[in-house]
Amino acid sequence: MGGVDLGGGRDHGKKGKKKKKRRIGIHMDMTPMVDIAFLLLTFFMLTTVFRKPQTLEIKLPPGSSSGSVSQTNLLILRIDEEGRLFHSKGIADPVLMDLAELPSYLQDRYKEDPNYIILLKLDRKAKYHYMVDIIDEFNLAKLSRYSVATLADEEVEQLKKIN
Amino acid sequence: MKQLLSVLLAVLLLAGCSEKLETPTKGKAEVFCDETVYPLVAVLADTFNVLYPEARITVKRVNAREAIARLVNGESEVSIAARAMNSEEDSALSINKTDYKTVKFVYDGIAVLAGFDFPNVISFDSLLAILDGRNTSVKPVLPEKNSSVYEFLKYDIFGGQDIEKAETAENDSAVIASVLKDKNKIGLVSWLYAVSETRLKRIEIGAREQIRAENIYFQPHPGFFVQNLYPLTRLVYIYLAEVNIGTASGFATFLAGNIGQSMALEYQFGPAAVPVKIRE
Repeated sequence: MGGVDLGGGRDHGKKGKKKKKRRIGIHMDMTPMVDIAFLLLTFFMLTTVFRKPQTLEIKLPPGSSSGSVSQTNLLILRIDEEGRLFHSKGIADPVLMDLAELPSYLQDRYKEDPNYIILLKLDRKAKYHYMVDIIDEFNLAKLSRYSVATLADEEVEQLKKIN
Repeated sequence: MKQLLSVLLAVLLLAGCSEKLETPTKGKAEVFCDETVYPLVAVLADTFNVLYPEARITVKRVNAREAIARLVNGESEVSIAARAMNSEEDSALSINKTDYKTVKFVYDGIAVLAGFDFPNVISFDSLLAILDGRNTSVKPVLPEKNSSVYEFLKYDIFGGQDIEKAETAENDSAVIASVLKDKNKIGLVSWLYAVSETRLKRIEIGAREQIRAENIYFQPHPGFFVQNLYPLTRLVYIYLAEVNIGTASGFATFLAGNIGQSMALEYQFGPAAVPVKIRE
């Protein structure tokens, strides 16, 4: 385990000289300590079970974050084949209006709510300049959120009935 | 003299062996809880009391302001409120030299309820227009001024301004009753009261900041609360002012632990104290 080396001990037999102090050398046997350290290390390595990180799972609802637009915020302008202009809000029926009234109409809507989204729907046979003129009016009225589409067949039939 | 000393030492040793009066799982604690999360906390308190029979947690249902006021006044060691402390409350706590800890408990939301004739979605700006009176076609109803719903809207949305144009009702249930009577009203209530409400429609709200050309709408759901996508998402906090680590701390740890957070998800809240995985 360990030992003590007393060292020296030889008598030189010379008189008058000081006797040397005996040095004590200690030797520690580290083997058992290392044994125990490795034993403990091995024990903990074999018996430790790491806890899995516990996460909770949330499933998002289907059809969330839809890109649909609120009907109350939607303004629809329709141009038929003859160049007649109709306006409606949301799912309301289209109302005929004069093209000259459009600037004041748009300004009123902007004052009402600057976040209106406008859908401009044109008949496929309508003249191109109507679209250009109306988009110019949007820009003048600072209504920047609009999109353009063509009229559906049912809408063409519906507009024909309005005088 | 020697004998006396040994007797004294023995007495001291025996006194040291006596049982601790309060530990995290043994003792009494009173929790002042915001009504927003009261049903959840009450169930968790019962679970805690069953799991640790030597603990006795009682939960008092109050509004957010009172829950925090109790803590400020030193009447409560643990309070739960669905809003952060305002500067006034914070300074009162520092004057009282009350040292408190804040633990994030759950993500909650404010749901917008309306009749079935109302559109399914509303943009965030349009909702603000209804609340501040710019749009008078719809009348908003909110719980009373000291409720966490009202204070969240006042401080977090309107920067401290009162929502004068809105009608106030006694509590969330009264808001729902008021909207049921009048088709032109919309009610803003705590999410917990909207989860089981089938007589009214939950309105999806547009994102606060428009990311794409078309608006994106979010329905109140724990998945969107956790991601902070739902525009009216808020955090529910546990405020702990216990000096030592006693039963109040034990219960707060339990709420933020796995059981508390799993139960919160069961109640449709977004867990805020454990990692969450979102699945589409």
